[in-house]
Amino acid sequence: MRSTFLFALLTFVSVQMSAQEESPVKDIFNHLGIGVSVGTDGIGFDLAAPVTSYAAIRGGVSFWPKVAISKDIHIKDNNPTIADEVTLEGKPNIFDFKLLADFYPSKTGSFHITAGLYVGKSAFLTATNTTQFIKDPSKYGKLGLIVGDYRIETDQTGHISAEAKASSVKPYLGIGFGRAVPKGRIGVTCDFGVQFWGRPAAYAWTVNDWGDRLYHKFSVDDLDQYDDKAIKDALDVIDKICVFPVLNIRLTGRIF
Amino acid sequence: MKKNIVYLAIAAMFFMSFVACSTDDGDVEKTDYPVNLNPPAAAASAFYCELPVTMAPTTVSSLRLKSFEITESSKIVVELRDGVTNKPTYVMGDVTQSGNTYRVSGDKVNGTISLESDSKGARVTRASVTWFAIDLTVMIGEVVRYMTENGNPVEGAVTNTSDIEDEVMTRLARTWSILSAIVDLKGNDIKAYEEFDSRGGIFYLSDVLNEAVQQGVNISEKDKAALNKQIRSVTMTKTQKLYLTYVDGKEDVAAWSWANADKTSIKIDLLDQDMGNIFLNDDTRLYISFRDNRCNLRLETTITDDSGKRWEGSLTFKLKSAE
Repeated sequence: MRSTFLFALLTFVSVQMSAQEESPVKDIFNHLGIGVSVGTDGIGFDLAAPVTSYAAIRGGVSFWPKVAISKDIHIKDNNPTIADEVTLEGKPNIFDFKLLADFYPSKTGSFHITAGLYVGKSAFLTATNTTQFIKDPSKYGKLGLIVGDYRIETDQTGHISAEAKASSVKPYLGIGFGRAVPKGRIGVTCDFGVQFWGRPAAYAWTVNDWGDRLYHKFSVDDLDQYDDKAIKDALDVIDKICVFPVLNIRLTGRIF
Repeated sequence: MKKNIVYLAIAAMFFMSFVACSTDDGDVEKTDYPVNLNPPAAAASAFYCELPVTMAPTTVSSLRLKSFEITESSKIVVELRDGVTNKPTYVMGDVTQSGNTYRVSGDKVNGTISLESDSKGARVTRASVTWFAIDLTVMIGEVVRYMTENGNPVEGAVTNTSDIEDEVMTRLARTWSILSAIVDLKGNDIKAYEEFDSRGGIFYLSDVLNEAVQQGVNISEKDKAALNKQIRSVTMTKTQKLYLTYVDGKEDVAAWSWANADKTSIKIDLLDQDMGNIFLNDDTRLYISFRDNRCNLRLETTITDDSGKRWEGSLTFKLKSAE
């Protein structure tokens, strides 16, 4: 809903801006370009169309390949039914629809200011154990780790899972060079900007004294002196990526 | 051109308004659950009789009757003191009531207690119980008096605990069975928990002991012996006593008092020193919460083991009302 409204507003603003100087109606959506991009926001595909000579809109998707990163974690538990170490596997989980508007201060220049939205999954990173840390299956759901004062329980298959989540609607603001729809058949653009991720946080399923499963949002403040430094470092990093830098290169072609 | 920049700025500000201040806050843990813990059927008949000045002599060598209590859950707890060392001994049994007569039965206590009321309230007129099959007759004397060894008449104080109107106490004062217990342990490169279920309605304290030993807590043989028990039930009373009843018929008893004005935690005073071990000390608090017909008692404590290592631990008993 918000995206639709924003799109309408952007279109309106764009038209109004152009209308101040000439009558460019004939320039609106008179071309269509297709783009492929690679950058910190992942791999992207989009369609682009000019909205007068001073603006263009781009819409498409971008995603991160699900390349897993594994890390062995020392388990602070001497119980013989618990493994000494567990391998945690983290996978990026970024898939966003994007709608961006480029504004060109100059009618023929390539420099542009871009604003828009990325809308997608709020969980941008998922992690689970790929090796069992409970050796006795009868203990699944009965024992686990403690982070801060929260018990991280296993499910009935012996797995724990955690997610890092940000806002599912991520505004974008940036600058770049190159036309969204090239004047020739092929063009290259580059963009540099930031996505505003809200305040990301780590989440995991916990269990309370009553046996209720609660999806808890963890912060550094939850931790105590007994927690592993690696957990504190991870939460620190997640907490600090309120603004995600975007740098990408986009190969674009004009369809018509 | 200037207008373009203004429009652009407006658009940018509009975009910024979409920046969420935070993502979702996750589940918020409830603290106020519905509670279904009506007073036990026998709660109205509960009373406590204390012999405060000089303990009543019994026919058991050196033992004196200090008090006895009919609990809200139809149990009797007899408190005996050694006349020389003053060391307490507690004996628990079941009670069935017929009019003003309470029939007492159990592995180690049998007999009857008669109660009558007058203008001064309920008074015990006669108590006759046996302990370890030895006649423990206590003649409280005419009406409410019993004779001390010096021949002085003394009144026994009787408290009808049903007169104590307190919502939290009403919920708490009953006999509970243990569903399970959760051990949390932090310190010395350990940070883990494990939940142990009761087996056949019996909770094995040895499970807790084994968990602590596995995690590296150095426990003395004396404490190991104290923890190598099986709990049949936990009884709380309005007289602010906590009784642990073991499978072997023995009891451990603690007096408790509120630790805070909200009545969500209690501190305990061990009346039977055999109950004490490294998990219990003066700072020990028991946190109470209720839900449906259940109660959680979370014992939070700091443990210093025999090797001097310190741990932060908690033991949460998940209790269910026995009636």
